[in-house]
Amino acid sequence: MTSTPLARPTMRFSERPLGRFWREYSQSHAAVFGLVMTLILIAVAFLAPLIAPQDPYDLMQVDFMDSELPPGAIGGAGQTYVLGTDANGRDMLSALLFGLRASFMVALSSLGIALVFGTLMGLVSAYAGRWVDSLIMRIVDIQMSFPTILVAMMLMVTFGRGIDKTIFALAVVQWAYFARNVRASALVERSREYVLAAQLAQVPTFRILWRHILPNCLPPLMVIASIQLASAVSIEASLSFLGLGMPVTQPSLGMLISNGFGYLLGGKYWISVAPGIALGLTVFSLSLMSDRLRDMFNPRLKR
Amino acid sequence: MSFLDSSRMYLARTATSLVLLAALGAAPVLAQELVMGMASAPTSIDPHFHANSSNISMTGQVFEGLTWKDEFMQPHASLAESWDVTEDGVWTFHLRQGVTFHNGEPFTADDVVFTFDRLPTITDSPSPFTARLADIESYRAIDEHTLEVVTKGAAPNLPINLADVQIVSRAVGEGKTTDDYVTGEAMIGTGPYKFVSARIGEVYEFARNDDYWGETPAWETVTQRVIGSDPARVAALLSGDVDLISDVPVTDFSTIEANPDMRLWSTGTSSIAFIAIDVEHEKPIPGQATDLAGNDLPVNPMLDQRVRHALSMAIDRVGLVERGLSNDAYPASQLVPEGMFGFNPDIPVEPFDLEGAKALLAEAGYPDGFKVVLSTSNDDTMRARSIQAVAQMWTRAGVQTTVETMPHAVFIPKTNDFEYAHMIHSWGTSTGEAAYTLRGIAGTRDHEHGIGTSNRGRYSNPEVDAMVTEASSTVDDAAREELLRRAMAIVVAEDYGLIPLYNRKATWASNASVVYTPSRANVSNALFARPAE
Amino acid sequence: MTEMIIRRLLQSVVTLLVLSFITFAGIYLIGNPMEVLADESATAAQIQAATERLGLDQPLWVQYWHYMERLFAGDFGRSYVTSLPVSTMILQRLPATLEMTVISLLISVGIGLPLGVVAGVFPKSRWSRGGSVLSVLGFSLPNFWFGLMLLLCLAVWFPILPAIGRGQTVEVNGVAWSFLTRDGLAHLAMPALTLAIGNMALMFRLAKSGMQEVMLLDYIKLARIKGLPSRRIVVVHALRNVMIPIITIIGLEIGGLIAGSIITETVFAWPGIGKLLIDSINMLDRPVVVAYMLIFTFTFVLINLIVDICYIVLDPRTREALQG
Repeated sequence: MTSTPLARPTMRFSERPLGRFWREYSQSHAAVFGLVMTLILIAVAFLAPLIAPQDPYDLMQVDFMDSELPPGAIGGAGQTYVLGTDANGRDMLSALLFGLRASFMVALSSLGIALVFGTLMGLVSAYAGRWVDSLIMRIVDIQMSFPTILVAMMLMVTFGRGIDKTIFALAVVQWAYFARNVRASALVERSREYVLAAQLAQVPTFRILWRHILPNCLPPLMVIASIQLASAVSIEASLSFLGLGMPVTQPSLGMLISNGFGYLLGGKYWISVAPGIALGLTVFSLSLMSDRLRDMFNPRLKR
Repeated sequence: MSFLDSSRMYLARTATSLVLLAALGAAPVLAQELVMGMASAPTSIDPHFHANSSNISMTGQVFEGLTWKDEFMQPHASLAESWDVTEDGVWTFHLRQGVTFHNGEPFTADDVVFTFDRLPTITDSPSPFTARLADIESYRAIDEHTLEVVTKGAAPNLPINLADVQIVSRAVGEGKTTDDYVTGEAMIGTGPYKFVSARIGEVYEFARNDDYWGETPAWETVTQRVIGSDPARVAALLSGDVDLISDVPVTDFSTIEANPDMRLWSTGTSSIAFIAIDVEHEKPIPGQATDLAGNDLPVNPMLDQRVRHALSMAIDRVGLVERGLSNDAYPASQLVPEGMFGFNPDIPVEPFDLEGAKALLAEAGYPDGFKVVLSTSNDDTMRARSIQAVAQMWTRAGVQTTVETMPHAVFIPKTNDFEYAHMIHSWGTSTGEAAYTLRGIAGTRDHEHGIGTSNRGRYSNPEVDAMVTEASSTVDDAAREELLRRAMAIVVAEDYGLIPLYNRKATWASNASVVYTPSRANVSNALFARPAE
Repeated sequence: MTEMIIRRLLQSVVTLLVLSFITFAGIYLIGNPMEVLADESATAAQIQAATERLGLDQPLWVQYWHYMERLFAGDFGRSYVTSLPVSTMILQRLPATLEMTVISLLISVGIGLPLGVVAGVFPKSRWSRGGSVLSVLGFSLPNFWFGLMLLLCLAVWFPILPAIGRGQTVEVNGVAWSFLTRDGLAHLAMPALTLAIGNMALMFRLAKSGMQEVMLLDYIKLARIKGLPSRRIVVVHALRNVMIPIITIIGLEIGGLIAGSIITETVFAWPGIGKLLIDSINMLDRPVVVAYMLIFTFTFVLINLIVDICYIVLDPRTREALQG
């Protein structure tokens, strides 16, 4: 720490770690597009209550007398429904913005829980070893050998639907990825000399884990987290589509699509299409980003 | 008294077919094939396995009951040609002579006894037919063509209940289980169509019974394909794969109407959607009725008749039906549809009056309103849509409503455990008489006697109970109907114990070569279809 | 290797037991199926009687024990809804799912693999880069999304394919197949394609990255210097090395296909076992749901095992790693 203050001010952006990272990342135009889109979508989602023309959760504002209107129609109170309305008279644009918000919130919170829990289990597994390690890793194996959507489905069936239950189900299907990877990195770090030295110096185990091992596990964790974010949005949408996800009055993108599905062949396609495009764009942008990160951290492609 | 039915024209009882027959004289029906697209598969083709409408509709083509339910759900003679009943509940059924089963064996009173004996032995039945025989004390065959039945009271609903009890032959049925029906081995009835083959849950085939005792069946062969998905069923009709479909989704009405080669056949059903309200708990069920800050109200507001009345007034039923349900229903004034025995024409559809509702709530001590949770199951699209509309309307009246929907499988056990205080349910009056409805959803809960089994808000009024009980043992039709009408008025127009919402329609669609007689009992089978001329 | 197989089999038995119990208990917790199936007017006594007849009033572990007893005698039990043997119900729905998954597998391998190989040989071309971006779309977007878009494009806006449902079938040895008729194939096209897109993208990526790596290896360079024709280099020398991981993934993805078929069948109203599972869940038809999960898990575990054995046979180097 004592030598860096002199060096830092003279370093150019492109030479700092973040700059290097960005230079490498931005080599892919698609990845830059993904990042920009993701930022826009997240901003729009979280500003939804401010920018949406209607609060679709407020029943005073939603009028079923305006149901199933096509895009551009004028409602009973004189307002224009830019993207039309759904079967309950919700403004599709507002429903879409709030749906995006719901999807992001579920995905991010489940990811957070899975990340913390999975990391913890991975560290415990690596550090405790023996039967604890075996037990945790067998659970991880079993969990990972099943298609995620099936596991999530069984959980939703067992515990019922609702935001909290959806988040729980998504966290359960994701933690194993983090646990396995953290364990792998931690095992490598654990056998390094500096850790052995710290152990000899009787530094508390918790401190070793927190200060030395965990920071070294972070880069792969970030890659997995970025992959999992896309997949969490996608799994939640699938669950909601099957009628197992969110409550009907607080629809996520998946549920909006599912609601409109019955109207698709009858010609009222707008109910499904707009949320469908929003979902496609979201997952695509997130995946472009995570795909780039994965490539950057894959040593085999660095030749 | 006697319910003699002189006509032997089994299929000709519908007004439309009478006109047709008059025009054609006794002309033989053309050899034709009917292919139907069914919305749901029967759970079994054993006619005694599961009392639900898909099952009864399908097996009703092969087997017959002593009586027969027409499209208005009125009972007519079928395998029983006529019947007499004495004051103390002894019924004598005179069975039709010269009727044979599909295997050529004659039909006798002993087959009826065998059938009645069989019903309680069906194990694993999710919903046994024994309920249809609940009024019966004992039965015996007097001779080959006379059956004596002793009932527990006057049992005016016996003829309609017997319509669903389809008679199987003792010679064939002895020792047979549900499996033998599923394989087709025991599918030997007296009905207008013979069973040919089935791929369970997919396709069922039937052929005309040339030796049928009644009017010659209209179709040479009948194929029923199960197409559960709504758009797929419509597509199959439009592409010509099937001639007739059941349960037309409302989203496709306009498509079918616009097509000159297609026909829609629609009727009101016996099914009424209503809101059940918890009027038993002194304190509201936790979380179900709260003040605006979210704390449980000290007293259950629904105990006050004015609040219930206000909630009913706040609902714009005409708007709900027109916009929310795309006109696939009628606004409901009471718990049975118009035309049903016991329907009270003096009860109007509650007029929509938002200001009146607010005033009434203020009068009841809730000028600022309160919050409630309204719940239903999400398996029924119409109910799922109406719950959101009702929530909007209540919220506008000041009762801020949160909607909770869940799968049927979760909802029903929870309502049985009284976890919800305000629920949208629906109820079909399958017997065609209001007594069944008033007893089932408005009667004081009494599991011993099977009263109020679906009374999930536990509304209770001894006066209503007394009238319904009296009606159940009143054989005189006019007196019985008067009792039921008065009871109905008390439940929905004085007590507001249950809030009726809408009466749903049932709709079939066919190509131009088929004429369908829509049935209030929502029966989808070949008996109600005939070739167009 | 025998020891590995035995250990894996033991592990799978434990997995199966744990999973069956979780499913069993999960549905037990939701509620009593008799309450759901019963007629509206059924009395409590009638529901109680039906419940007792089916043994649903007993404690969970007793019910589970009885179920397991019958299972070991080879009996999956009977459906609560139809009273038919569960095995009959599943076997009857199996052909529809089978033909959809097999055709989708053929599509994904038949299209994804060759495209990936070409893209891997020319990694710098614009075409190859574009393909990579598209493949991200392919494997990240949920199944039902593609179904929706296909329906919109090919059935609503440009109606060239039948929207949903299964087409005309032909019976072969008592089993109804729809891929043998024109109408059946037209109905199969969209569901199979929907199910295939994810795997197609995966195949593309695997083949591409595999080829890309292999093409840089010394022995390929040597072959080039020796002047072998490039088609021969790709097909004979490079492709063989790429195939091992791809075969593994194909094996693993069969499980994913069955899970994906649940959603695809829901979208296209395809009468397969995935649809049966969803319907049974809604009716709390526990025997069907548990049997589905058991059969699925068993198949899945078995495929994994076979893949690993193939792997060892194909590539002796992995033997040590798998056994360690």
